[in-house]
This record gives sequence, structure tokens and C-alpha cells, in this order.
Amino acid sequence: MRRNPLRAILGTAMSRRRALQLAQLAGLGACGAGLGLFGKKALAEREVKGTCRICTMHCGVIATSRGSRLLRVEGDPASQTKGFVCHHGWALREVVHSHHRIRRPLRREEGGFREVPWEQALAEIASRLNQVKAQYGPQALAIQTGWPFVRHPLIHMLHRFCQAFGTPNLATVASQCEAAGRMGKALTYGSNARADLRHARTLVVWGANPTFTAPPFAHLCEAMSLDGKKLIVVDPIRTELAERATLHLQVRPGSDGALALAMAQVLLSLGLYHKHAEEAVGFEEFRLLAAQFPPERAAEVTSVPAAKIAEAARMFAQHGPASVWDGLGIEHHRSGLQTVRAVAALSALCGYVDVPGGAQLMNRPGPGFFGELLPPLYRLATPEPLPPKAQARPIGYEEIPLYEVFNRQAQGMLFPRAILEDKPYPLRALILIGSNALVTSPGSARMLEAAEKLELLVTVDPFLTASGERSDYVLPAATFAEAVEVGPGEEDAKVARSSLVPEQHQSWPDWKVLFELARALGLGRYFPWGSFQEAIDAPRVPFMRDESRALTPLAAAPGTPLPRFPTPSGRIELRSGTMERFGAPPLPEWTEPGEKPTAEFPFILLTGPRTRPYINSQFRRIPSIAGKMPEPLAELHPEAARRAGVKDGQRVAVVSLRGRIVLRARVTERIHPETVVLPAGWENANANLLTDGGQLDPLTGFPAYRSLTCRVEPA
Amino acid sequence: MNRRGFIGGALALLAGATAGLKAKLAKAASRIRPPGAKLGDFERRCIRCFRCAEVCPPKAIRFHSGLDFFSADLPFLELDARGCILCMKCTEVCPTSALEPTPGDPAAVQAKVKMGKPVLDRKKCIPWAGQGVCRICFYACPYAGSAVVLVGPQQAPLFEPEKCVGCGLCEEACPKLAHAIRIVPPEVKG
Repeated sequence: MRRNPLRAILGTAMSRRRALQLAQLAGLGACGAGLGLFGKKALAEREVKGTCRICTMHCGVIATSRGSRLLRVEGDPASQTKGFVCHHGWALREVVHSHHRIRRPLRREEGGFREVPWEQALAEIASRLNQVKAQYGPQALAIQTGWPFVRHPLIHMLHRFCQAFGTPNLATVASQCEAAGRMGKALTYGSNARADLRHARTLVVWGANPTFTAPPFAHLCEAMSLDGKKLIVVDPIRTELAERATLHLQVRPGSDGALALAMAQVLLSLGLYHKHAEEAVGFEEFRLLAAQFPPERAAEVTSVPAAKIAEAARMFAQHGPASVWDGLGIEHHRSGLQTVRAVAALSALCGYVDVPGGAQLMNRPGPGFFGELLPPLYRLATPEPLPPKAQARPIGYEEIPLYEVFNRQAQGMLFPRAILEDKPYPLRALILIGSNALVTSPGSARMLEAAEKLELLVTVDPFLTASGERSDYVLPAATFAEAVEVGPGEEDAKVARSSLVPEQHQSWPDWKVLFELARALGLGRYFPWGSFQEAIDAPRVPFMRDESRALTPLAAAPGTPLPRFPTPSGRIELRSGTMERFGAPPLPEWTEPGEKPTAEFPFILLTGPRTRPYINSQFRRIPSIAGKMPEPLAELHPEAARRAGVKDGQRVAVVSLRGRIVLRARVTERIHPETVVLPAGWENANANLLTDGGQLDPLTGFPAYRSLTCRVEPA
Repeated sequence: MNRRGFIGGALALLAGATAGLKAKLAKAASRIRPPGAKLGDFERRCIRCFRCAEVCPPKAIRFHSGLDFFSADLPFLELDARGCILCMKCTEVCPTSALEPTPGDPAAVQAKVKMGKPVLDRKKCIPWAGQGVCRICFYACPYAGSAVVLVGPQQAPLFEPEKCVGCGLCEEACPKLAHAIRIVPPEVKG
């Protein structure tokens, strides 16, 4: 007889039925255990629609997250950008969950940073700000914001905070980006203008690289060379777009103004201009100015052959309508504003302003007209109660009046002077919000010196930047993905329903940092709101108007139609009355760059064109982006490399009057033979150690990033 | 049970097991191994120490189940979920050189690493199908311009399998609604 093992163990009678019952029980137990193991159901994935605010293209995205973890970011096909997203938006989850993020507020102490609670950090900052206020006056505080606050409604609140504290010194990234372009076009047409890619038959991309800077529009620009359309690229670098162009004018950096005047001379001497162009203010004076730049003379200045200049001018006039996409390449020079105006004058001469396919005015006379000549990036408005007006004038009010008139801000490029030389008054406390000014401002050496002299430097940023490392306090900001979203429009500051992911660690969204700091300073009565939604929804009144310097467009007499252009004269202004009023040369004259190549510094130094992987100084610690360009490269032409005695891939020193940096060289025929191109925003090879914080456009205060001089030598 | 039934059953079981085993081996072979893996030699050299996954910054390295008879605890990449960022840290820490040590320099990586090759389904790819602009694979690719180029007015991606290292960043980035790119191991036919 077989032995039943169970029976042997249990020592009881084991019937078949009993065994089945036991098996049932065991089965139930196993099920229970299984549930215990696997029953911790994974959190459900959730999808949130939002906007990518990494750059100003503001692509619609769908973010998939689980719990507080962002899993994936994809383009939203239902959005304005139709599902487009580039590598920056796609790398958002690496940004949000980066190990390099600051988790708690940091305070600098002997031997390094220490984490402190938010309340303590804000209370200490507030008390030190109040000390500075008592000693030097409220205007000794300045706030500088960076790239994330371009077209961001928090700007209203930043102005409100500054006014409440009593300082007029808010500087945004407009101090060195895009504002000169807006001002130049506003002084000529009465409003900012943009290219009409859909209807233009010719597109001129002048000092811009939309392939890298405006990826959702890259294909539209590239398609301009197909189907009988024409694409003209004016750039010292043969960009990817320039390779596809009908015509590429490889201009010497800083001579764009001369090129534009030469093209105007061709148009005027051949009679290729529009018949209404003669109605423009100062047409005859402009004709005399352009006559000084025949293509033969311009060819010497710009290094573009005279025949090519004439061909470009003819193509622009005869293959219309034509649009101009101008970029920072023409703004970062000593005569940046005038260059923008000279380029704008070309469209004006050919009658391409405010017509389909030409320059589209963004502030047209008619319904919805703002009633002012180029309102500041935002028409500033703020809820009641209004804070008192700051007593002092913003830095730059006297020296660079045009900039202040158009932007209602301090010119941040003058901050180092105010700190070091107490001109026009001492500046002793600086708050950097989303800005890495110690790396991205011209003349970093002087900027560092200024940072040392400050009594208080605070950085608000998700990462510990080079500026953060020198700050007294670093406050961890939430990225835009963790903050409730703000609407895409400029005026309608709609706030979206939810953030893409919850806040990480102890970071706070920028509005909360600002509001809580105001409360710590005892200014809570101006910031009574508990959320940004409430603050945005509160009814607002116009704010910070300066009637004494207002620029009012010509009003229509009763019964007559509105003037065609929103300028003070109602016409296109080739000769600007506004510039005359503020003591600037009224015609778009071109002046040579401040530095000319010499035997000691034989190359033109061009810093800061956008590379594909990076935007300014961001993303250096994001692996999937940093892998695309692990180190900065100085680019130069084979001929230039031969003259300097360096080879491709060699480590070289780039030296200017201000400093010296060492990096690897890349020898490429894409670069203008007299030029050395350096990328900006690298902490270890900071191109701004070579630039000069003193060489500014006297009309806008824009730094001359792109027409200085340098030499290259083997390191 | 008679003898015939027993033998028949045993044969059927054997056939089933062989088929299952074959499928299992094929599945293991279709896995993408971490960078620097010498195929064929890799399974023998790997001592299942998990160090590669420990240092992997994007946590892209996963493992076969420990109960898996033939490829227990072998590392692989699921590129659909997470691509390799080519930092080469896993090759540095690999104690047996199952992952061949490679410097994290883009040129060296392109010369030495071959994790897989891209297969593009043009019917699903947004620009190839004429459904819009995408380019995300071009933006994601560490060797954009050589491993993938954009062609035609639609700017559709064209892959160059010889230049591609198979990091899978494109497969990861390819929109879910398209899911057109797949990285397959070098010797497997797509």
C-alpha cells in the first residue's frame, strides 16, 4: 500500500474531500498573497495639455505623468503648432527630474552653502533688503529677469513689486534681446512688424537663423527657395538655411547697415521703389544718405561683391511681395538700432509695409489699436490698490532715453557701472530671477567684480548656475512645468487648469517666491492673493504711464479715415522725429564698429549665435542635450586658421583686449574668413570674458556682442 | 495510459518545449544590448553584477527576469521607453569588459558602438505620410546630419544605418501616435 505523505505528517484521516477543501483554502491564500504583492496598483498615468515655455515659440504639448513623475512630453496635434515639439520640449522630463536641481533654499556661509527653510531665507533676505533701503535708498535694489519671463504675465507683478518697494530698476532680457528690433521698426513704421511667410514671394533672412531659433517655422523658411519663391540670407555664417538660399550674402559682421543702405541706393538709382514711398517723411534726405553708399563702396565695407548687392536689391524689389525676418545678428552692434532702421527702410521703399506678404504691423490703426507707438512688451496694467510711484528714475533714463521710453525698464547693461561707480546712484542689492547674468552679460570679468561689491545677491533658479554660486541666497524655483500655466496670449493672461507635474522637492513657482518675499518685506497689502490665478483675474488699471515722454501716434481728425501708419506723423518715417526729440541722429546712418581689426587682434569676434542644442546658458546639465555638443567650439575659416597657425580640433586660446579663453577649434568653410565665431553661455569657456560691457549701442544700450576683435593662438 | 499514448504525449511535449525555447531565444536575441556589448561573447562575459544599470543616468538599462532559464539577469535596453544617451558610463564600470570600455566622446562612440540599426515605417512617419512637420527624430539624434538627414520639401527623415549607433533616442522621441521608428539589433532583419 502506498503511503500518503500528508496523512503521515498530519496523522489524521485524510479523505479525498478533505484534501480538496484544503486545496481550496490554499488557493484562496495564494490569491490573497498575490493581491498583496501585486495589488499595490501602479498609479494611473495622466495626460495634461499645456504649453512648452522653454522658448518663445510656445508649442502645445501633452505631458504624460504618473504621480509626481513626468514620463513623456509630446506635441499636441490640436494646438497652434500642430503637434510640433523639438528636443528641448522633449527633454523637459530630464529638466524637471534632474539630479542637479536645488531642493531647498540655500544660504552662503563660510565654506559653502547650507540649506535653510523658506521662511528663514525670505525673512533674512527681507531684513537685508530693508538695511540696503535704509542706507542707500530703495532704488539701490534692482531685479533682473531672464529668458523665461519673455512674454510672461508675471512681468506685471514684477513691476508691481518693484514699485511697491520703491525702486524703478527692473531689467528684463529686453536689455539685450529683440528690443532693438522692435524699436527700430516702431520708429520707422510705428509698430513692431513680422514677416508674412505664407504670402511672401521673397523672404530675406537677415542676421537670423530660424532653423535653430524658431524650429516650428524652419520648414516654412526653407520652403521659400522652392516653387519659384526666392530666399535671400544675409549672414556671416553659411547656416543650413543659407545653403538652401537663392542668394547668400556673406556679410562682414557689423557692416549690415552699409549693406542695407547700398541696397537702398540701388533701388533709388534704378527707380525700383514704390510710387507711394516718396510720401515717407525724409525721403529726399534718405536718398542723399543712401547715395553715399554705392554698391562699389559698400563692397569694400561689407565684403559682399557689388554685383551680388545689386542682384539682391533687384530681387527684393521685383520679385515681391517680400518680407524681412531680421534677428539679433543686426542688433548686437554699436549701430544696431540704426541698422534695423536701414533694413526696415528697404521694405518701406518697396511698399511692402502692411500688405499681404510684406511686413505685418502688430499694432495697426483700427479696431483693437493700442493708441500708442509700440506699447512696452506688455501694456502694463495692475490691480488696485496701486503701489506708490517710485521716486527715482530707472538706470539708463538719462543716457539712453529711447530705451526707457519704449520699454519702461532699466537698461540692465548699465547695472555693473551703477554698482562699481555709483552712477547715476549706488546699486547694492540685485535679485536675479531666471537669469544667469554673470555669464550672459557682456564683460563678465567686470560683472564678477560688481557681484563681489554687492551687499546682497539673490538668485531664483531651478539650478545652481554660475551666478547662483556667487549669490548670498539661492532660492529653488519651480520650472514652468510645475507651475499653473499661463495663457499663450500677451494681453489675455488666461491661467490654465493645472500644472504638468506637481512641484518637485521644495521648489516654489516664481509668483509664490515674489508674493511671499513681498509679504516678508511688509508689502503684503499689495499682494493679497493666494494664487497666481487670483492675481491675474483681479481687475486691472493702466500702470506706469509716463505722459511727459509718451509717443502718441497721429490722431485722425473727426470724419477723416485713420492715418495709415501709427507714427506721430501718420506716415512712414525714414527720418524719425522721435529720435530727433531724444537727441539721436534721425536718419538711419551706419557707423563703423567700435573696434577694427589690427595687427595684434586681426579677427572679428562674433559671439553668441544660437547653436542647435542649447538656448543661452541653459541645458548644460541635461544629458540628452549636452551629449549633442559636449564642449564649446571656436569656429573659424580654413584661411583664418592658417593665418593663426591652428588646426581643426586643436585647443586654442581666443584673446581679446578684455580677456582670454581656451577651447577647441573647429575649422569650417561656413564662417566668414575674417571672423571667429564663439558660442555663448559656457561657464568654462565664457565668451563674455572677451566681450566689453562698455561697448554699447548709444541709442538702445545693446551690447556689441558681434563686432569686436580678437586673435587666436595655439593654447 | 498505454505506451503509444505516453510516447505521443512525450513527443508533443518536446515539440512544444522546442518551439517555446526557440521563441524565447529569438526574443532574447532581438533585445538591444547596452553600448559596447560584443555580440555572441557578451552573454558569456556578463556576470550579472547590475553595475551598468546602477550608473546609467537615464535608467535605461533593464534586465531579463531572474527566472529566465537562458538569459537570466542579462541587461538590455527598451528603447521605446528610454533611449541610451551614450555617456558610456556603463562600459567604464563593467568589471569583465562584457561592455567594451569606450570613451564618451561622440566620434569614438560613432566609430565603436553599434547597438542596432533604425528601421523606419514610412507609412506611419508623419512627414513621409504627408501629415505634417515633425523632425523630432532629427532633433533627438546625437548624430543629426550624418545618421539622419532631412530630405524633400516635407523634410522627412532618411536614416543612414551605417552611421547610426542605435542609441534609440529617435525611437523614444517618435510621437506615440506615429511610432514609426524601431531600432533592431544589427544582425536581425527588420
